[in-house]
Amino acid sequence: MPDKVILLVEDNPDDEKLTVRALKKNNIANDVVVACDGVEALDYLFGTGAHAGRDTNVQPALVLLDLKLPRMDGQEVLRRIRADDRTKRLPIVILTSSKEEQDLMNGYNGGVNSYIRKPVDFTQFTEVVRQLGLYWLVLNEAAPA
Amino acid sequence: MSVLLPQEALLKAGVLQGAIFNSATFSIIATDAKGVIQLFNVGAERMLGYTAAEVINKITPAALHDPQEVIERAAALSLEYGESIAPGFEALVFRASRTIEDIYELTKVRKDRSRFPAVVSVTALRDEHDAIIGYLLIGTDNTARKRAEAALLKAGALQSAIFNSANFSSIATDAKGVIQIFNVGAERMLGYAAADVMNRLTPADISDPQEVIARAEALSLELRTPITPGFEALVFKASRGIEDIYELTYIRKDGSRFPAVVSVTALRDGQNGIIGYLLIGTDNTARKRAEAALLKAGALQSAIFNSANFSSIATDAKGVIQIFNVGAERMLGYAAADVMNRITPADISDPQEVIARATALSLELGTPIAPGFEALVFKASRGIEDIYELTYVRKDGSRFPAVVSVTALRDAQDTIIGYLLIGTDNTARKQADEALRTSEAQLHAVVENLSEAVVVSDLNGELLHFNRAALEMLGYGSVDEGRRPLCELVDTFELSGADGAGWAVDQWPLARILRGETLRDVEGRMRRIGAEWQRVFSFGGTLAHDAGGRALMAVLTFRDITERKVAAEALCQLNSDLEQRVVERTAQLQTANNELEAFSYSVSHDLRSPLRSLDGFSQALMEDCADKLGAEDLDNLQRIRGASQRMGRLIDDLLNLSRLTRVEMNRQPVDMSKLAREVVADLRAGEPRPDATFSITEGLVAEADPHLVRIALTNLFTNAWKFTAKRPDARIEFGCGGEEAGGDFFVRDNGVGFDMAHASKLFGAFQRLHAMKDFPGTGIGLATVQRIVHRHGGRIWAESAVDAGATFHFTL
Repeated sequence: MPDKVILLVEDNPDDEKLTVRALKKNNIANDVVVACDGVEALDYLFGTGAHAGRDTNVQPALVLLDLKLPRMDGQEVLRRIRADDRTKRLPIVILTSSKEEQDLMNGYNGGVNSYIRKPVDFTQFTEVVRQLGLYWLVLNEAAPA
Repeated sequence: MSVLLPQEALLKAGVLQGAIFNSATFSIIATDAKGVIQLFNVGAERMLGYTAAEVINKITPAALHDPQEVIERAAALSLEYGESIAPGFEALVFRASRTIEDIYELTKVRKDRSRFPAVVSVTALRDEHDAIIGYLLIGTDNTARKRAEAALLKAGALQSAIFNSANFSSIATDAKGVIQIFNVGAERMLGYAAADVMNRLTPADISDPQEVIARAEALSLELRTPITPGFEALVFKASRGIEDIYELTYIRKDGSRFPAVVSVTALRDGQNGIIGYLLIGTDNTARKRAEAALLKAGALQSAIFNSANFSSIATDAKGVIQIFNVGAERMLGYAAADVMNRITPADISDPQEVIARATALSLELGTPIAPGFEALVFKASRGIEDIYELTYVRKDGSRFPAVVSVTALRDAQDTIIGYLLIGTDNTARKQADEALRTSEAQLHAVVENLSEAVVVSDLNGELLHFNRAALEMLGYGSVDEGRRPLCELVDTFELSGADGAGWAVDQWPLARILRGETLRDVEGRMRRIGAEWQRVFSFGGTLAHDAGGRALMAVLTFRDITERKVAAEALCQLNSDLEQRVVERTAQLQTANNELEAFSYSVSHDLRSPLRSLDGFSQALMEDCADKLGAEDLDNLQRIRGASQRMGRLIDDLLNLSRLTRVEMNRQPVDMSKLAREVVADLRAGEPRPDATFSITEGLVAEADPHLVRIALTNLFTNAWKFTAKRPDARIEFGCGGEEAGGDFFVRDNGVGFDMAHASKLFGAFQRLHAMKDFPGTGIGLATVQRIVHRHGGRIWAESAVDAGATFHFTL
């Protein structure tokens, strides 16, 4: 599915850059759309705000969602995505620094597909991103649009 | 049987009954055939505390006895007779209804529920067709006898008197029953010479064989164990330590027989082992014959004459003793033979008292009376019934107070032929009187010295008595000052309830008691009008009744609880303050906890992000600019990455540590040995070191949180594993020490150890005792272990020396 985008919801520019680098290093060719906070992420997905007019029939292949975000946090974004018919079957991976039990529970209760804690070691992080790409973009059969 | 002469006379005269019946020293109760009381003499009234009217036609004598004993007696009789005997009146008279008479000991219960031991003699009353028309129960208070018996036995006087007497046969055997001693009395009674029987016969050989068989059967049944019909049957009870006196027919050498009363005692050595038996027998013929004569005349006399509870002494007209019954023998310590035809009752009375009595009677009756026997019977000789108290002197010189009833015995021509003196031991009553006086004095002392106020009023509310505390609390100078009717006190005092509402005089505690209420801990305030003080009192009290249930007076008690109330109020205020403070503190704590949560969250989330950047971009630089950087540049970048990653681990460890204090404890039985094996297996899987040996004691268990204990053990084993890495013969041990039973676990290694001088730093977070390059680590592990141990309420300590290994002990 190289034609579909990956939506990266991430407010930290360093993390954004490192994630994009890790994707490239793993030869994942999908375009990466970055949303800097929860509101922007929803605007993209639902074709509102700055993304008004976007064709919402076309949705990302994968959403990488940070939890701690300005304006609207990741849990709320997850809830809204799952509550909308257009996006409720989207593969969403929480990619976060937190391994608080409460965050894990809320994530899975909210219907997240996967929960990954970002390792500090960039070598490990690159490996994580490689496996994510392989799994969600190649091996996994997405729900029909 | 010369003694029969006065006996017959007295029986004919019927005076005995009269004397006894009117005596207050024994109770006489007659019932109809069903047990309903028909007659209740003055003695019964005195002993039992009932009036005749209260019991006649109303209750049976069973109601006057200890119910438990009546039940036991019914059970024992049922067993003995092989039929069901009801635990009530039937149990008291069953034997009497079957045989001629029955004497037994029972505890009687007075109207006021107090108790005393009694000897009861029961006789069936029959009409001319021999049908039972009722029962006669004669009882005596046995308290004094019980005491006398004990004293007698202590003195040993009875034994020696009996053994040397020709009137008693004393036969001693070895443990198997072979006769070893056969005293002169035995020779005389049985017609054998001692040499005929010693080492040859057992007492069973001179007893009626049929009776021995019957006795063996009866005992087998009673004691529920088979008993051989031979010597064993004669001594079995004694061998079990049961005092045993029974009737038996002895057979003389010439084949003739005589009834004997035999008392058996087991002889024991210093170790209490039985070495033989002593059988003391008395020829019962005379008594039997006398009994028969008495019975012919009436059962009452017999009951009295056979009773050991009162002394019956009959004299001739001059005072020489002619009859001295078993009761007299027991009370006075003389054998009948010692006194009969020898002395007068004056000789066994306190001489001073006899003189005093003679003087008093001389004065009273206006005629000179000699200070001797005459003084004892003078009134009776004039036809005046006479009951008096006197001190009797026993053979051994000891004394006891007696109540003596004297009757003159007269022949058909109304000439005095002798006197009958019936005595009872008055010791118990004397002691009871003394005890009563003492107890009254004590009670008075107690009441006066109570810190609680006691006020007594009559039933009209007239205040009669105040104890010292009452005078003080009410502000009275003397009892007289307070002696007024209750209703007048409204001029002096104001009372109100705990709620402050005033009490009218009819609501005052004493008024309520007078109406029949029993008060306990009724709180009220009292103020003396015109005085400054107001106190808080706790009132109690009740009406006091006499033995008949009639109200006598009202007793009011109160104590000053003002201080207590003040203290209680202060305490109440303090408690409420404290609760408020607890609420505040809890809220503060909750806030602090929430802050801590937020902080932990930030630490895990925000502190790690920059580290990822440091690591990530260093890596990027190393990859992208590898050709432009020298070896040292690359090494520096690698150090930045190393430092970032280490800090990441530190943050993770810190978070785990703080989480340990927040996670909920879940104690359950934990197999510590199994847990240790699993931890070791993980270690070995992570880094195979075939030369390292583990020794884990089997079967160690603890009550602990399995998850937390696993973390603790993992840390301890990981440390041991780490610090033995450089040993070729690494050895790690897990076991249980003996210092604190069941709780002291240890992990021991033979690694590099540490200097005990630094032991105090061991369990602090980030404290490390070794160089990072030798033994890497964050310094959180032991802090984690300590926190887990502390959460279990245990403690942890270490022993070590440099290069000598380390041992970590902990309890849970």
